[in-house]
Amino acid sequence: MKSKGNSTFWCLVGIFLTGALPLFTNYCLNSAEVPYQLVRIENMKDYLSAGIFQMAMPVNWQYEHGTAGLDGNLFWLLPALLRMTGATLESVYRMFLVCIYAVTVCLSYKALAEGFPSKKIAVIGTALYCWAPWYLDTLYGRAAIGEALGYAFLPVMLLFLVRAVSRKQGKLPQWLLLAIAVTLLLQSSFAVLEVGMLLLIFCCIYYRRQLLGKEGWLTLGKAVVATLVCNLWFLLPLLRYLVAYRDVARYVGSRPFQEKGAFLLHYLTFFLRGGATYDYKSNGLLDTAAIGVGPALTGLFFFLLWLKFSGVLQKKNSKEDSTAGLFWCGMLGILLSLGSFPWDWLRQNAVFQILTFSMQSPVIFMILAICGLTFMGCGLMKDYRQRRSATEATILEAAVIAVAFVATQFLTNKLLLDRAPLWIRQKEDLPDVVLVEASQFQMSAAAGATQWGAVMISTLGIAGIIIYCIIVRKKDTKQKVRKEAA
Amino acid sequence: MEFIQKIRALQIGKRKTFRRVLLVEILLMLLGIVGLFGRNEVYEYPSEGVTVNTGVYQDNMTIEHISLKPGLYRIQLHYDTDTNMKNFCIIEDDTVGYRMLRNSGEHLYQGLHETDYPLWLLQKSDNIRVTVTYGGEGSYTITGLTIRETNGLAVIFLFGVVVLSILWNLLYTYVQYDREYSLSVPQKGIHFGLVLLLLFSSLPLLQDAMLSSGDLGYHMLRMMGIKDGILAGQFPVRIAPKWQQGYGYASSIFYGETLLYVGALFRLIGFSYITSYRLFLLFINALTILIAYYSFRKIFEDRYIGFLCTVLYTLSVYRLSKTFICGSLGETFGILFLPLIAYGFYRVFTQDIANKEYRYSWIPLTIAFTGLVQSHLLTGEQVGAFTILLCLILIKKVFRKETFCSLAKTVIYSVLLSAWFLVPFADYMLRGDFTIQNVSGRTIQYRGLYLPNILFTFFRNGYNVFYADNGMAESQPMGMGIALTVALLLWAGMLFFRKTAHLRKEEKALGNIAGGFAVLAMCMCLSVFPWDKIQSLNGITAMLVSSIQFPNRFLTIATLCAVLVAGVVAKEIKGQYETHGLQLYFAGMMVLTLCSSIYLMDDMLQTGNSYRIYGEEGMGSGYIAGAEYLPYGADATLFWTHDPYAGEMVAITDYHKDGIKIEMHCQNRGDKTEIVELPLLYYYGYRAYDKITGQELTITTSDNFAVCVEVPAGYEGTVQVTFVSPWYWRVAEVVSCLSLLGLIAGVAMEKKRERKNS
Repeated sequence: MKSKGNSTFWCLVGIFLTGALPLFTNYCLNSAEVPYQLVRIENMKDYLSAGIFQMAMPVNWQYEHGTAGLDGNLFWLLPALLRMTGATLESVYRMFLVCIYAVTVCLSYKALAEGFPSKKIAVIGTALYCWAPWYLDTLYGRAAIGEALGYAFLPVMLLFLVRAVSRKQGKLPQWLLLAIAVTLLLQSSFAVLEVGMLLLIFCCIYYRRQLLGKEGWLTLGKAVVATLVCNLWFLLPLLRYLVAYRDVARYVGSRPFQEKGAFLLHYLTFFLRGGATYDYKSNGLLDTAAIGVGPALTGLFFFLLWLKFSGVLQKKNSKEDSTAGLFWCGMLGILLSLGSFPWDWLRQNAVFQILTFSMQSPVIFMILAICGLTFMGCGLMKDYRQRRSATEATILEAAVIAVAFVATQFLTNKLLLDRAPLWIRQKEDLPDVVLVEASQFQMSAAAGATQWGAVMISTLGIAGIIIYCIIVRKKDTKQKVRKEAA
Repeated sequence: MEFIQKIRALQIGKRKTFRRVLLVEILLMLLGIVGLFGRNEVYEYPSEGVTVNTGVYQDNMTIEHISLKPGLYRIQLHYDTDTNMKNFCIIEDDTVGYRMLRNSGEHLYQGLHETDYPLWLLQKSDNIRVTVTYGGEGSYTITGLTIRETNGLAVIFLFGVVVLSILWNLLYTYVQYDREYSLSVPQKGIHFGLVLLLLFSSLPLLQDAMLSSGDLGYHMLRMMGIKDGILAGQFPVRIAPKWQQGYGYASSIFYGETLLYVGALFRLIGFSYITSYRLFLLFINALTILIAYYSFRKIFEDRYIGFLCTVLYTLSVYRLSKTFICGSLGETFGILFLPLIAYGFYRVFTQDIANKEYRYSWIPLTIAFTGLVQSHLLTGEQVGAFTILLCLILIKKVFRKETFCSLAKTVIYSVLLSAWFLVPFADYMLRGDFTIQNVSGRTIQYRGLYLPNILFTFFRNGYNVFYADNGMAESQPMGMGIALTVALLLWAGMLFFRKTAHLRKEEKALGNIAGGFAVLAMCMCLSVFPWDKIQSLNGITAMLVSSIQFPNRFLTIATLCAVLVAGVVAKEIKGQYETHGLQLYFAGMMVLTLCSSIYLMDDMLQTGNSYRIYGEEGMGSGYIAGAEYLPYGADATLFWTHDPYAGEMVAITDYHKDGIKIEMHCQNRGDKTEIVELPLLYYYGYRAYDKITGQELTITTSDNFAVCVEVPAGYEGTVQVTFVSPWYWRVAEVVSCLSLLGLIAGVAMEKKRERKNS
């Protein structure tokens, strides 16, 4: 058993090293948003030195990365504090990315291991999730770190769903797990939070029997209250900021959106070169960014189609299986991420405009596709192992990991070879990024009573939840002991 | 017939689900038909509404705030200008959604006074503006704008409903058939695989643009020519009426366009230019896959090997490169028919002559050769050379009575079926003097490939075809791909180690001949092959070699033969190692195909410029590639549309030009015959008549080969000038039609008689 555990660990290390390859240089890969992220770290450091914590850092909205200004800075404390120790700017940034990638590997493995009893399948699933081209592009090609953070924490939401659908209980109560998942997403990226909410709503509808029973509603209600209380310190300033800058938000919501959607072709491309263009309207696929789910997931999707078509894989009750719901959610994600989905028509409606204003392009819905196809792929490999010989199942698993590995290597190698290096080590090297002086987001001793009140409520809420959990846990342990004694 | 009886036994028509869906389909079709009517509104905008904007970088005139509902419109801007292709008219609207307004605009010409180009509007808008940008030379004025509504969108809707209904009904029947008779897993596997192959071979068609490629514009203009020709009342189309600014171009007489009629059909339905082209290529891909699978399966009598060969053939580097990077549609068409030729010869030379079926062995060959001749004569030329070689190798079999009859029938029927194309072609080649007949000085050896091209694996998108200048740097992907090279090496190994025990005699012969031909064709592609010496032998070889243009064209033959070798190798492996061996071989070939072909396809998509043309007017009509089909000496740069040129004594009124038809009122007040020069390129077949009396006027040509009409002294009347196919062309068309009908009827009757006897 120990050797099995060790091998899993080393496999996860391998997954991490393969995906994090571009981070093991002494520079940042040049991309549109890297300057903003570096300014963000430097600015936070300066403010922290002055006793101010900037909860978010809005920039001039005309910049492409304007929407990232709404993403919370909580997790950015890590690079900012590291920077305060005197580490160079780019090394701090890369270290932050290393942490994010490590978290992605760990959390996705945790969620998949919960969903699938086989560690091997969970490891393969982790590779598929962590090596998804969209994610690698988000980290290195686009440097949309907020979205990357959200993607790293999304498996917590998946963990909640897996447990809820299969009615498993973990160490944490379900409502708390959901509250943590939503909090992590909220503090990472507003856009990914919305995608996560869509995932939750879809699964609630699909698995309404499990998720929308009396107990389910109670879980959801508790989670909502806990999330609101714990995040009040951030939500209140965010709301105040959005109210103050509502015209700007409206302007952002009316920016071209549909034209930035992916082609179906992105899902069918095997060798993504990691270009820098998201302007599909003018250039088609020329120099296109590496957005896609990766050839391994695409291949598994077609393999599933083939098995269904040929009748080799028999139909089963999808309501008892978390993969089915996530698969259909993935299909919805594919549909929503396409440039042919009528987003422009939908965004004529104010509701859709508000809902999608924080998103740069429909491609963000590819997250759903990756989640759905990863779970579908793992479920397929599990079924295949059960129904076919061990050799056939091993061939399939080996083929999947080989294809995923080659495609990932190709992409990361291309990124390293084609992207110019950014040698930004000090503040003086930073380019100009126009930040907006948003007083609403500045948390300091001089902040108003309302802001401090929100912080107090959040602190008390978090403390209360911790105490409640400890008490409940103790009670449960006592009950268990009593039961065992009886 | 058993299959049809089984379908009948399903009684699809009596099933409730089918009936309900059918009802919906019929209702949608009725809706589409109703939509065809009443879409003929005309919107007029006077010149007073024109806004003039001047700026440092651009001066333009606009007609703004035009309100239109969704539909397909013709934009007719009335103007006067003194320059050609300097000023440009286009429709814009910043308020509509992504791709909701599609048009490619049109240049303004001195000799024209009106644009006429399509606008696809998919969303209602009140902010449409027509903009004319000034090109910096001469002057222009706008005298008004007419926007004509057409029922094009309704036609597209109706077409879509019909096609989707057919597809849905076929799918439904397939599912019911499977439920009733339980198709086997291998059968389903092949069906699934073929659909997947169609998807992956059509990847570049999945974006809303076409990859920019060398000859794309030329083939698009050919499609335009067919569409305009049909709309002008020509069938078959001989002169593309709008090509070269309305001078016309006889490309279709020299370059078979039979398959292109399908592409033109999409344009006639109303699809935009780029959509028509993509749909057409999808159709070509599907046809290639079906023909290849049919042929290879028949040759190897094994559906898996047939499928493997189809994958290797359809995704071959050469085919992908020619189709998507070079835009050489002619060769793509040639590649389409080649497997059928291979199957035809295999059948003619290996089938038992005592077998009753042998009587029909000439049919695949006839279909293939007919298709080839009517698609790409150059490929036909190469196939012809290798056919002669094949017949020499198998000379004994050729002179068996039955085989000889089969081959003779192939030749005769192919000629008869292609007579409608061959007669005009031969007529012009014998009668006229065209550029194509004067290119024998063009050498090709320096354009040959290097050996590394043949042994290459990771092909990339590139445009360099002149290896003598740039080596292989940024070169076009020219080669067979590593999978086929490995197959050839495996076959060589099998021969060397005498591991061919599981092959039948004819299969081994197929492997040997195909392998030999593949190697020979590969050698002919190389720059070391002595093309220059062959070219200098005599006039005929000079013309033949020169017409090849690029030695790499022989990769067509090499690819086909290497695929056949791959099939033979698969057969031997299956015999030796049974299913597992075949699976391993199959998987290996797939991986290698992935390395070469899918890598290439992904690369070309991510590095190639894309091309979006909605209406052909946007790109102009002057491109004629190598100008091969111009009268020798004609200068195409002088072909600009203009009013007729005539001497002072000739008065021309009521001049009207509609494509290649011209009608004008002429009065020669002088005492000698005068010449009227018209904006039409001269080809044999133009006639001029007096509209009332029917008196024929003499046609001559100008120095630059424009059509000229001799107007006799004192003549006054309305003259009609148009192209009229000579009577023997018409006879050839009838012969081809009758041959086709006769062939179908003959085979059908024969089959019926056989069924009765059995």
